[in-house]
Amino acid sequence: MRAVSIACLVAAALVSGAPRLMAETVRLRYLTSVYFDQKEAGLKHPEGVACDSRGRVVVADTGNARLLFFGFQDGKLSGGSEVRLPQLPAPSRVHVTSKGELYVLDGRQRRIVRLGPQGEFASALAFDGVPPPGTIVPKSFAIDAADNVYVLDAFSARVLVLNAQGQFQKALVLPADMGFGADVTVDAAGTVFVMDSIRRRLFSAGREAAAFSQLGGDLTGSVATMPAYLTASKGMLFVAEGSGSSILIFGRDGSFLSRQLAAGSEEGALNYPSQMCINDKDEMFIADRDNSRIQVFRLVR
Amino acid sequence: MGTRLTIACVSLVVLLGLPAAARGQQNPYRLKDTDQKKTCLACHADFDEKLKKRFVHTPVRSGECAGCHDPHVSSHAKLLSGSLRAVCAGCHGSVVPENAKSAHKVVADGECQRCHDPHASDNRAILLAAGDALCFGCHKELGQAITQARFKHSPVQQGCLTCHGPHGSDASDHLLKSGVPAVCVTCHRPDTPAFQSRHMNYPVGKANCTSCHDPHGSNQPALMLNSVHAPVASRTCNVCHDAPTSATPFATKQAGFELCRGCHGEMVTATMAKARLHWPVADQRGCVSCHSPHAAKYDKLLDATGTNLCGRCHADTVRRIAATPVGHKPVVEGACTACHSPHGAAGTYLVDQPSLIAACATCHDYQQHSAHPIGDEAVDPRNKNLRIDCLSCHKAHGTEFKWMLLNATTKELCTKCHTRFAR
Repeated sequence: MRAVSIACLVAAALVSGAPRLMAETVRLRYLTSVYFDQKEAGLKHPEGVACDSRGRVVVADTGNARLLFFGFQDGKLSGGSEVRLPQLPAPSRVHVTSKGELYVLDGRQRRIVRLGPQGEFASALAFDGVPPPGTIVPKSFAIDAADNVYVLDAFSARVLVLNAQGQFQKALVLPADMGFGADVTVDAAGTVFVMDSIRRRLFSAGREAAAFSQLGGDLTGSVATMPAYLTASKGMLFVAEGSGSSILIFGRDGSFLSRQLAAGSEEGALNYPSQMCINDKDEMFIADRDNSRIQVFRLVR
Repeated sequence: MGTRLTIACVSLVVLLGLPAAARGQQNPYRLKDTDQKKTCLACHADFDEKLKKRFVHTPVRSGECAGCHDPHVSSHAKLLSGSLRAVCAGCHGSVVPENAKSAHKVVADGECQRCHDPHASDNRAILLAAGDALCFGCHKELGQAITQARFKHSPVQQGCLTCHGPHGSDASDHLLKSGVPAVCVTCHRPDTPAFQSRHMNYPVGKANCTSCHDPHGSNQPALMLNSVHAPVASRTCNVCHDAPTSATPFATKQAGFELCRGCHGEMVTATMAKARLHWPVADQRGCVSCHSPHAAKYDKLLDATGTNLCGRCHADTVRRIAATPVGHKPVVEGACTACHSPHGAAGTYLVDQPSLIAACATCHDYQQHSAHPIGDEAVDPRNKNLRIDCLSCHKAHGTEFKWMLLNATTKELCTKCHTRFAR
């Protein structure tokens, strides 16, 4: 009888604790860092990094006003060819489409530029058909699996959804009590997430949703400093704390899972982490802005 | 028969016991002398003077010292039978209205003794001081401003309690007995021709009067706040707003910074050309995130200054700074803009200087400070992409160590880079 009771308790603990245990075991294991391009010129305050399933890694080397192209294989970064474009004096965020094209947000001109796979200039995102106001100030953007572009427009506090041809699809207005919409991301299912950096909250809108709804509660207890960057991947949300120099991991429901990494200049530590990218091999690339490098980690469950 | 006898016995016991219980309540500590006050005053003789005061707290007057104090032992100061908040709330639990929109901080913190003497006073409501003098004991700056104001507001001269409640308000913020403009329009009738003419026929009777006027007094005519936006001063409200006769008279002609660009075009263009924006400039509210569009208490139409302003968004930074033992002087003084550009900048952290060293050099002369190499030629041995600068050793907002160093000892700090000397 006692043995049966113990067995029941153990089974109950396993059943109730299993998903939580799985979520809690996600951590970042350091793999490597890249400091230089192929000519041994150093990176300077890189704010953006993008990756794809073909092993391509594109770095927005913001302080040097250029893009760098690397390959990542077997835990090593190689290459580092440079592209400089007059249309990109301050590249700050970068995303790769399913066709290998690049979208880059320029911090100085505050516009999004579309480039060919080799970094050749194609066009600037025109926002065709977007309803007024005419002024658009992109704070951030994301791209989904179908190459739709989600632009977080600071000026009108909305997320503008454009298709792969750049035509307006819909606008998702940010909640009225939003402190400040700092970043937008979209997951594989097409759910859009935005982060309120001042009131420390996460919001989501499903693929067909017309409005955002809050995920979980106030994150103040788990977010120590102003969160700046957001990425959705593997059923989780990754938040980069700027001055806190940590990566926070949340469940898709907004529940806090863990805090990873810490401030420092040694490898594996961060100093103002910026854009993050996670590929299909659970490899995570982080633009470690104030350490002027890109760091690579493996998501370990 | 047996039941009746039992009931009778029980009733007798209860009846006999009632006076004893009542006696117990009156003398819970079974004092030899049942007069509690007399027993306490036998030692606390200085209370005699207190009891001669004009207003005496009811439990003190009735000698119920044990109503608030535990005569034997307590975990609270002054042998109080509970926290001050709990003791006072025992009788005065409803001083802050339910669903209050604002509560006086001292009340919310349970610090009743900051205004009231718990025993006796010569002032009504056993207040520590009479009239506004009590309020100005804490609100010193406001008291000074009211006294020095060239143009006085008559209700203020009658006393703070004309408009404010002392404990809390269920009607408005700032402890106001009724909100703005309700409290204002009781005297200033918006339907009079003179009122309408002064406000350029805009229907301000339902607007926020304090966005232009200082209700406590001002050095400006019409109690305008100290710093007045030029279109308001020139009464050209329609530069920014729709016509007063339109369906939306308070709507602005454009949104966000685009409205301000009309007059402040040069500044807006220069800001937008910076590599890094202070994002409130470009968001939906735009310039009014920090600046008041009509009039403000502070220069540059700011409705708050320093950390009070920046802390609205950067509360965590302000909290950390407050907890930092060794702070950077401008940071401690709340002069955030001494280093950070409030609109936009070329550099990270909104530092609008070619480098962090250049930013520090605006106040500090490095040549008189240290011979340690810094700058473009001084490569950080820990990371070849970094250069040694002021923040290699110091933290800009402060640390717990002297000179705002990153480490407690020089050895600890230096051996971060000079590893061969580490032991």
